[in-house]
Amino acid sequence: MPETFHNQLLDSVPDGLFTVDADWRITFFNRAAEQITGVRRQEALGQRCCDVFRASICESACALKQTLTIRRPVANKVVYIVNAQGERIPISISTAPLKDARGRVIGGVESFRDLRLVNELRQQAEQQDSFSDIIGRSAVMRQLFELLPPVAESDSTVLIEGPSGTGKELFACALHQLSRRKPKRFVAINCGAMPDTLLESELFGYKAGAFTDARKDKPGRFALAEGGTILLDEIGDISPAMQTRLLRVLQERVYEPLGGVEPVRCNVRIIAATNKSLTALVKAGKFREDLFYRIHVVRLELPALRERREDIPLLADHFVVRLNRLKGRDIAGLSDGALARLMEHDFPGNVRELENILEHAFVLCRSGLIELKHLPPPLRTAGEISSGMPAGRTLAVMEKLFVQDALRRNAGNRAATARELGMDASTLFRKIKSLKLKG
Amino acid sequence: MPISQERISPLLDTATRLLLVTRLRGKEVARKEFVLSPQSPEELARSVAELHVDVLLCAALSQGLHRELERHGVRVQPHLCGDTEIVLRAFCRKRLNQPEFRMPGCWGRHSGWNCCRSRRSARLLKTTFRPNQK
Repeated sequence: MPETFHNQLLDSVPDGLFTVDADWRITFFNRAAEQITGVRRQEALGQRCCDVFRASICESACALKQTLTIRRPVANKVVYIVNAQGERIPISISTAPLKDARGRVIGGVESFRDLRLVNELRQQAEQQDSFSDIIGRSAVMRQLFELLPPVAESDSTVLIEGPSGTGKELFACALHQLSRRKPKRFVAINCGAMPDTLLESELFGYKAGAFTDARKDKPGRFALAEGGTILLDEIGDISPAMQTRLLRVLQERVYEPLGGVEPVRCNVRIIAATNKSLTALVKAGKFREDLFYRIHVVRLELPALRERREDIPLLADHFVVRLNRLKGRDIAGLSDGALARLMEHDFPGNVRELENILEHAFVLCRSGLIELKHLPPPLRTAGEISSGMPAGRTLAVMEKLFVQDALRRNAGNRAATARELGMDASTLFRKIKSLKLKG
Repeated sequence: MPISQERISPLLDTATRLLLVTRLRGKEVARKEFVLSPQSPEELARSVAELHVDVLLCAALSQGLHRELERHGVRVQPHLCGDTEIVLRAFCRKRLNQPEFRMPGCWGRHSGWNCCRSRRSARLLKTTFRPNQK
């Protein structure tokens, strides 16, 4: 076939494509490559590929160089380039050696796909799987998401129960953001971290002269949250004396600042949160029953992360994107091994622990995928004696997770996913349909 | 100047080495190399500014990093390519505006990617200068 026919053919594909000779000079540059990089073919031809491509890996981990060294293709490596307008464009690249008729390597070919649209679609999908910054697509989280708007609208006192690190403050904040109190302040205070006297002055403020160093009036958190919402975190840890003072605020909507004589009226929505069971504390006589019933108007129970393991890949993706943004990095995600290890972990510290694990991994992983070796040591070693598969999952759930991850790795490309999974594309389509996946 | 294999590093955002050249009354008096660790555009701009750099010669850089550098008072002369020594020499002789030092691409100087110089001038550049050929 004539060369012009080949060129026309390659110009018609939506992926960028270029070839280089043994000196890294560009010998072919298709139309999509022009559009993605912003460099015209005439300018690109004959130039060193790194001066045209300007990818994040050009200097340190050139995929073409890797391919030509190990003589093997690189597939779907996620990096970014800076185009001619100075924009960072996320792309996935694949490379292969170019050989002549005798099989000698004479250069390399690199194809790349603009991931902006894919990322945009992923963001849209994430929006469907999140609610006011709370991430989850599990049934239990969806139920909670459905509850949030009516609860927020009601203006009732809310009790949020859940283990540490499950996002109690995020839920409280979401309730505030969804309520008519949104224009006013959301104030959070950890009641468990302070002795009684300090907590009282923090909550209710004090008047000048109330104690030796009180030279002028100081407003408390209730005053700061006037018209808005206050979150009383770790309410299960407060003393009986403080419980009595809080009961008065809840019953009469008034409080007295330290050293004050006049009661102050307050218009604040109260959300209480605890990682303990208030019912158990009431039974044990450690929490006032009347205060419990005042708080327990609407109760939201947040699940531990191990009770919604299917959200772990979604949460991990979310944190990778966030950490990439915060740290100016381009980590592509988690390898299968690393994700499998996270799936089998019990996460006593819940979502906060997952976030910390990924932050740790970001320190050790410089680019590409987060591997098992980048996870904290206890997670790295734990799996050596296990199969690497999460416990307590059915075969169908595992298959769904496996196919989902492969699709994610291949940016939704079904043909590439089918190749990776070693199955026919039509088999994969059927599986996507039967597993009810959003392929 | 960010450097890689005796040339200007193709992308400042991910450069790993920075060459700092001190010139006094037009003469080079000192040269020092710094290792750059992967960092955010803000951190990288701060690191460069802390070296009291007057002018930064570089190849491609992202808009965000460019803004951060300017915010830190660093004058950036971007979109340059070529061998380190040749570029430095051209800088001393104020010849960096020559086409052989310009990276391929229109770099947003016009209204869009499709507005690069004409085919004729591109052809001229290609046949006359061949900037990066050794």
